[in-house]
Amino acid sequence: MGLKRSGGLCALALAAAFGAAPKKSAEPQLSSIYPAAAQRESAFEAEIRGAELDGARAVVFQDTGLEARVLSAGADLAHVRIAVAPDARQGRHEFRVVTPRGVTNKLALDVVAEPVVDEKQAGETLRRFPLVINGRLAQPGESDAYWIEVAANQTLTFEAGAAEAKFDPELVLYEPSGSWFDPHRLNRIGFNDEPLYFPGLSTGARLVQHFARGGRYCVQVQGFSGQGGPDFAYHLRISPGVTPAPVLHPPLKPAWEERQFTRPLERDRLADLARRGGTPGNAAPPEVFHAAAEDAPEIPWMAAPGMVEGRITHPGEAHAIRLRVNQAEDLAIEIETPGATLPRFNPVVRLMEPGGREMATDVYTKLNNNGLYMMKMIEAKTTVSLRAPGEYRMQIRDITTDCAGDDFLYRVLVRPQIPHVGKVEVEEDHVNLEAGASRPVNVRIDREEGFSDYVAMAVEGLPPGVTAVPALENPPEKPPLPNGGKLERYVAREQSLAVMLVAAPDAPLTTVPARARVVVRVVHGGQLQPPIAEEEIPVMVIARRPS
Amino acid sequence: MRGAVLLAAAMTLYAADARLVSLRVAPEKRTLEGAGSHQRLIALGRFDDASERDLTDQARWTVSDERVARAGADGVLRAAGDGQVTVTAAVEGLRAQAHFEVRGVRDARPFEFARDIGGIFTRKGCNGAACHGGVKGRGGFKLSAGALYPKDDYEWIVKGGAYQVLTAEVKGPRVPRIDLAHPEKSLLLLKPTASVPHGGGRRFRVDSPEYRAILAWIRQGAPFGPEPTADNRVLRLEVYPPVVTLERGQTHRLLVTAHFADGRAEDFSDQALYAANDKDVAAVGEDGIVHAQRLGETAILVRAAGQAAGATVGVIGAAMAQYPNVERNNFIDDFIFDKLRRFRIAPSPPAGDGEFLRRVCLDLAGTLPPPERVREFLQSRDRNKREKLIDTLIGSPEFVDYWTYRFDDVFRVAVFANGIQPKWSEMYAEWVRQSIAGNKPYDRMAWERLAAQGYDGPSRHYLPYDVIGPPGETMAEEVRVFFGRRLDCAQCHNHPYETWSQDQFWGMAAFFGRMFKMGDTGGEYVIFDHPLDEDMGNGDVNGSLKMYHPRTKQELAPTLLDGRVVRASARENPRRALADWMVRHPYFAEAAVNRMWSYFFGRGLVDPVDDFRSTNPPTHPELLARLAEDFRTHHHDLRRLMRLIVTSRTYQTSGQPALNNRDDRTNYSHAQPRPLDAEVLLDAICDVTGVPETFSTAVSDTAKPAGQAPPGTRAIQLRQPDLYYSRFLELYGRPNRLTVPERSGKANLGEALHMVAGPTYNQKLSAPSGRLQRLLKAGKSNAEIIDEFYLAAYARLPEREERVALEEAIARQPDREAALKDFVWALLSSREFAENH
Repeated sequence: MGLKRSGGLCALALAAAFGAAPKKSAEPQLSSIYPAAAQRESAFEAEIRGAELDGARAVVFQDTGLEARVLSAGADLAHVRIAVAPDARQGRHEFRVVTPRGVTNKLALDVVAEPVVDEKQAGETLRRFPLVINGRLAQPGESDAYWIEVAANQTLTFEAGAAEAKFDPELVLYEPSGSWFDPHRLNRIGFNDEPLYFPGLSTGARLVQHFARGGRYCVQVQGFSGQGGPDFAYHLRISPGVTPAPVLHPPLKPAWEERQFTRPLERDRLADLARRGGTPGNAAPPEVFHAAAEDAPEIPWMAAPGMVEGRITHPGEAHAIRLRVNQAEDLAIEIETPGATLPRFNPVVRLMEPGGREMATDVYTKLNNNGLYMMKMIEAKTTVSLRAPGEYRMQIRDITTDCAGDDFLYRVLVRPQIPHVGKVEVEEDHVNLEAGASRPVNVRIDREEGFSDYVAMAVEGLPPGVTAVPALENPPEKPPLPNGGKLERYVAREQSLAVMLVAAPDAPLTTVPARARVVVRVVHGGQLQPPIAEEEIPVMVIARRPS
Repeated sequence: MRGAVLLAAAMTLYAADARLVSLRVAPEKRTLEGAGSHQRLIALGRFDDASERDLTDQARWTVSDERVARAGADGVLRAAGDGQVTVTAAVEGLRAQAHFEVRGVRDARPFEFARDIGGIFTRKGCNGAACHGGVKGRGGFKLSAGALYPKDDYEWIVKGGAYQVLTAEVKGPRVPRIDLAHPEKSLLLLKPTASVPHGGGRRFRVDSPEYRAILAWIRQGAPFGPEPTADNRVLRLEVYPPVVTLERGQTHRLLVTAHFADGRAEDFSDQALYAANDKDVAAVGEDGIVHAQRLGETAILVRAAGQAAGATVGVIGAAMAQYPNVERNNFIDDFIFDKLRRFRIAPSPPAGDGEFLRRVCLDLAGTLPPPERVREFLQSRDRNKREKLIDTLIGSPEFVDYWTYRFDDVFRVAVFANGIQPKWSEMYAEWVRQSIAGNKPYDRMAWERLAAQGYDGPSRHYLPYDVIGPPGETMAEEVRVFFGRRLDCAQCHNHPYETWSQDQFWGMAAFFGRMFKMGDTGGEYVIFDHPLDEDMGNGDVNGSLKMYHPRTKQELAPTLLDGRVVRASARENPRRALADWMVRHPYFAEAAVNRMWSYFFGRGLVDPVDDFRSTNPPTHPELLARLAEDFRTHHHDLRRLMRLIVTSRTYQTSGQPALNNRDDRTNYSHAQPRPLDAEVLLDAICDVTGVPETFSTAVSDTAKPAGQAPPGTRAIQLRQPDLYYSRFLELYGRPNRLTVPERSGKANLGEALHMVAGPTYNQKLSAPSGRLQRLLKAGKSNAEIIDEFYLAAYARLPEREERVALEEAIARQPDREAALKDFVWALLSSREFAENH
């Protein structure tokens, strides 16, 4: 009994780790493409898996350089022929499939410069690198083994990437050295699941191996905890030498990011913030300062606005800088970690008054719902209202006393608060509208630093017969936590805007997605300001499904 | 061969009276300090049967200078004046000497409550766990166990009041237990003399030395004496000899020495409480003289000054005329065979090649040797083939798999024990594997685990379920793993049987009191130690990280078991200092070698391995100390330690009992059969049948498997027991590692049913790709098939009688294949297969 419960809970844990299986949806949906990587100037047939793909008629790439033609399409499998131009950009190319039920979600095909082979063609010993192998772990527990031959003292980099988010590949490198028990045993000499497991980071595997001895070795791709299935496609890249290590930063959206440690605090940030508040952005770049070791005889001074730059090189190292404030002031402190970031480098920034009392910190503490349990987080931004002029002291360090490194770089911007619109997020990826039906488009905006003006939203470029009308969503009923711990210092005021897209009953059906744009503007001084956020979403009008 | 050995053992004759060949005095050298100082002496005679006996009573004692000290017929040397003196013992024409320096005979030792009054309570059992030294005391009167806390004892006696477990508040009115106006009417005298009703009966008589001492103290106004200082503390007791062998009816004195923090050593033989674990084997009197009763082995426990120690007493049979000469390979054998000789137990002969081969392969690599390797080893004439095999096995790929699995067990690698994040338990498991594969020194492994901060593999073990565990529980787990001690009892009260106090428990727990996790949503927790000088945002929620003693409500500071407070700076990780101290502490190495020893012999020198305590003394204390010292001086090298163990003659002793060692379970006279652990057994079944197991992440009643371990994965390669389901492994005792990973080797009904009807056996026997089907297809004869399976399962060929009987049984069956399946099933179901021996 205990065992069953344990197994069940474990299944939950696994589901949490990899994401639960997607619900069956009436919407057309993509789950994987095989092969997942393609060489420039190549043409090949690919399998696209998903749901509700019957009658798929087109594959639409976001970028130029790739073209595709649907060869056949069933409910969950479409065969397409893809051509990659010689000048196609190297990297991920997102695409959608257009079906009678509308447009799908995005999926990506990797375009690479290296020669690409299919797993079926990689049965022989591989000797020439670089090389990319397309493979798939079609069954649970399946592992794909590739034999390679290397020269003595050769170094190779192996990288396994998944075409599908919930697939987590592992790389194992073996040498056929056998053992006393089994002369044919393959012995593990290298292993990697991912360079660093942390939410938001890739679970792709990367292994750098220096081969002191030349000869045959076996590289194996397998799924974490024995994952496998038709969607578990991967590409294995084998490159000579040591390729650049991945930057272990969570991906940033191209649009404005306000509260990520890795967003760049550009020189013109003050101007950008002003613009997002609807005022002319002509502020001068902040001056750059450097803090000293906490126990240094002389602690340097800074003034706001100012940027403090430095690195925590030794375990337990803490830096200090003094801040002179001439009048009561509302300040914002923003922290950037351009090198190592969470969870390796966890910067703690504290602002203390002359008596040593902590006035502000980027450590945000709150009680859990049981009212007993403290949760601590560090945030990339905090605000503080200094009620009196004076000389303050700022301390910067890692949250641990054991972690440090040359890449523990920080940039701390201390500046006056500037009311503005922070992050803007459009929740919908795409909209498929049945004629005569309606679907909402939700936009979440963050009001930062007391921004109190109106925010206007419009959806432009809608297909004929589709209109947008304002809508209100049901506010959440969940009360705030018993003690949010000065929540407003650490969290923006989030607000949701919605418009309802309404297709008239006689709206013409679309055969290709319309590129509608959600445009967000600040209204300041009675004037509609230039857009601060624009996001494109494909919209299609489709036939009503027979009831 | 085996028969010849038994015959030789049977021919061993028991000797007539042994002859005294040498004499010595213990202690050989000592300094006596202060007025009234004295020293118990023991005259030890060695006989030609290798026994050593207490001849103190027969000895004639003389001293070189009676102005310095005098020796009584009772063997006690009493100081008389400052100077040097030599004591001579003479027995049957043999003489032995010991040398003493006497100092400060005019300096009377000041009265000390702890020693002069508390010592009486200890000696008379008043402050024992069953009496006033129990958790709550007895009859409203509480004393600290073994007078460990004399200030508390003094207060309860002089001021009165009743002790409470959960608070330092005094319960009830405070009525002193002494009467300064009428000392004879003090409860402290009336009760133990049974002058008034006393649940504990009479502990001493009116006018006994104890009575007089307490009365005199009360008459002097019941002083406490000088405050105890760090230098004046008794750090440990030493009992000599640590191992005593006696024939029935013989007696032996014990010598108890108290070692003080300032380096002094003092005879405490007459100030100690003695108790035998098994009084039927040997009794011990208040005077510390052991009386042998019947054959067997028992521990004598000695308590004084808040400390405890023990000695092992073996009551042995008659001497053997021809004790076998046993080859010794290293120092392990010296300790083991010396004790066996003293106990007059003959060791079994060395294991045969097949027996050794199977044992060492299972112990070092968790894997059965394949038939072709067995044939090769059995046929080899190389005299060094065992050493060569050992060197091949240590560090082999299978060795890395096996010892990773072993330490995954010890370190509790499991999804639920490591934050309920399979990726975290994977990170942690990978750290274990890298440590084993790289032969990382064990002290380094321990240090990295103890001091872990941040987001690395070992830090994940601080997140059982997904919270930082309570400091007390976390500390107790580290102490259990790395010190082999269980402090848990002391969480709520001073340990009733050991010297662990509640103060020690919470002082140690305070090292873990600042641990915190950073993160909100799980999957991202970074472990750090909260600074003491800053709120880190807590000011907003009025949080506090101070730890308080649950009883005294005093704020706790990280304090080592030896009482030293660690003054870590406000932002320093105090666990680094703890880790530094722990890996250098003698407990660390002895716990490590004891744990490793248990893997090779089925029991620890202290057993259970995580239960070092004075009431559970080691069977071979000197060997344990020597192994620990060797481990320390060789950089805590686990592989070297394993090699030392498996190359010993002790390890290579046969499992076949010889004539007089059949009942021995603790002295390593013959190898004890040990049930294979579930994972090793399953792998062994796979190896013999030639059919690998498939491991799925799904439970049996879930229709669709979520994941599957790569084909060919062995059970010992599975990292997290709660990730891969296996009915077989659960039945055969795989622990889930959520709590202390206890493995039970006891058979159960479920195993029996699984053997008969379970898929593990039946499917593997029928698999077309299996060993049996391959041999049948290759046209092998029944005899060849029998041989092959014997080699695969038992690492030996069948005896002639076995082969004949099996061939006949198979030939009688109409269905040859079915008969052979039955044979293989019987082989796999046998104890010889399921055990390592």
